[in-house]
Amino acid sequence: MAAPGSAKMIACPACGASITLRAIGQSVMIACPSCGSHIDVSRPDIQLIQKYTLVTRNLHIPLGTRGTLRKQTFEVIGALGRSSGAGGRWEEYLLFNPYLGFRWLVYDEGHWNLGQMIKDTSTVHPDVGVPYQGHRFRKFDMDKAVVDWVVGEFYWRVSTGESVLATDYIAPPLMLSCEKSGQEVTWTLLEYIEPAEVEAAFHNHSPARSYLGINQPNTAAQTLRSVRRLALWAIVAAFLVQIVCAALAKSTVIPLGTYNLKHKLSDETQVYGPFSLPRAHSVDEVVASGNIDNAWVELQGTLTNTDTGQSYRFVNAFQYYHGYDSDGSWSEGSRNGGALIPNVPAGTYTLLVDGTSGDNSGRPLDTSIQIGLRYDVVVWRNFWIAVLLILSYPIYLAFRSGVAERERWSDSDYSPTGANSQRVRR
Amino acid sequence: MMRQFAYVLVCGAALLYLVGANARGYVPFAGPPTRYASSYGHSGGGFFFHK
Repeated sequence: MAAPGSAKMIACPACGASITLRAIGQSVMIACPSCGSHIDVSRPDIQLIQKYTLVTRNLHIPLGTRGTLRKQTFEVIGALGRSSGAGGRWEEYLLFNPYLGFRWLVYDEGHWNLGQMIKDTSTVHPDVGVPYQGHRFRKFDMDKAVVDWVVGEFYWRVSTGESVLATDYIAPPLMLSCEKSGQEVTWTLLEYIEPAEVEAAFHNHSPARSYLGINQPNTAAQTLRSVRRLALWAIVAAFLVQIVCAALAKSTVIPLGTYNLKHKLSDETQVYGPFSLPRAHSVDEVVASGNIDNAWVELQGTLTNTDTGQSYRFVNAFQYYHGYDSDGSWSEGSRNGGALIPNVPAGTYTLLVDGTSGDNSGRPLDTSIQIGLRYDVVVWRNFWIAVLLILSYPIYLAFRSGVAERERWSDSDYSPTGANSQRVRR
Repeated sequence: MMRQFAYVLVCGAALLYLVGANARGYVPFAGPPTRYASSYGHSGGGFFFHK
């Protein structure tokens, strides 16, 4: 018996070419790399199974190439091309390590998967939602897979034209592939491998990926998972900052007096104060309220620093209407209003107010408005801007992730959204 | 990893903004509204609440 890892040379019974038999004692057939004829190597007397005259194929990884993938060294001993009923084509490379056995390296339009046949299939039931190795797999597609060509050696008798019913279940980066042929059912667990990893292992070159692979990890979703806890903590921190700021703020109303809306001149300015605002950089709010009814009020004016003459404009407008219609009684607006004045330095101030008003007939109101200044308020819009800033990246990632998943499942007959564009691939 | 680090910086910037804006009395979009008396009045059924 040959030692593990040793190779044996045989001559092709069809074309006479020298063929290297690498998995001695484990391979049962070999497809001649020169002519493609299938040769039975399960017995000492090598026999021709089927004769072919094969055109030389450009494999993504040539037979006999050795490479270290996931810290394990493998040699490519066989390759076969398959196609599905939907028109997709892919290649499967049989890797061999005399101590580890066989693995599959599947190539599909720039995407690579490393697979291993599952020997104990008693726990593999993805169809009924049973997790496998802690992962819940979802059915992605089911189609007939036909062998188009074969080259190299295999541990079973594979022939061109052979077909199986292949069903794929995905839990990116993993995929469970079930192949049924008559009574025989085989399960293979595949894991997505970045092309760069395969290229580093086998020194090959694969074309660029043009779409999201069946079980290609969704990088946006992965990044989202890694930042969402951080986003949550940042929002909690922002909320605490806001609560502390609100607790420290005075937020007290300084009553300033009344403003009579009924006046003879079109504009009648009234001055309130002086009053003291001790905090530097305070946000203040001119507040006004009155018993208005189906009318509007607009108060314009300035908050003026009596020492520096610096003034801050404001417009405080509010309106209140109510009535009845076919749906019942209604109301809109409010009987009070406020106008924020940001970044007011400490100092002594006066408030100048001009008021106008109107009822349904356009006449000025014959009523008075209570005027006050809510001093040192904390506004929540800064908090919401901070939250928006914190959430902008997670929202972007969620959008990207959603787009990627829609693209992935657009190829599936089992899309959770029902969308299916049936791009031609496996 | 770089993206996570960049996002930590974004979160830090958001918190700094909040602290700074509250401390400095900054209110975004706080300019006086440009409205005129003729624009006031009942909306005629647009935005009001039925009781």
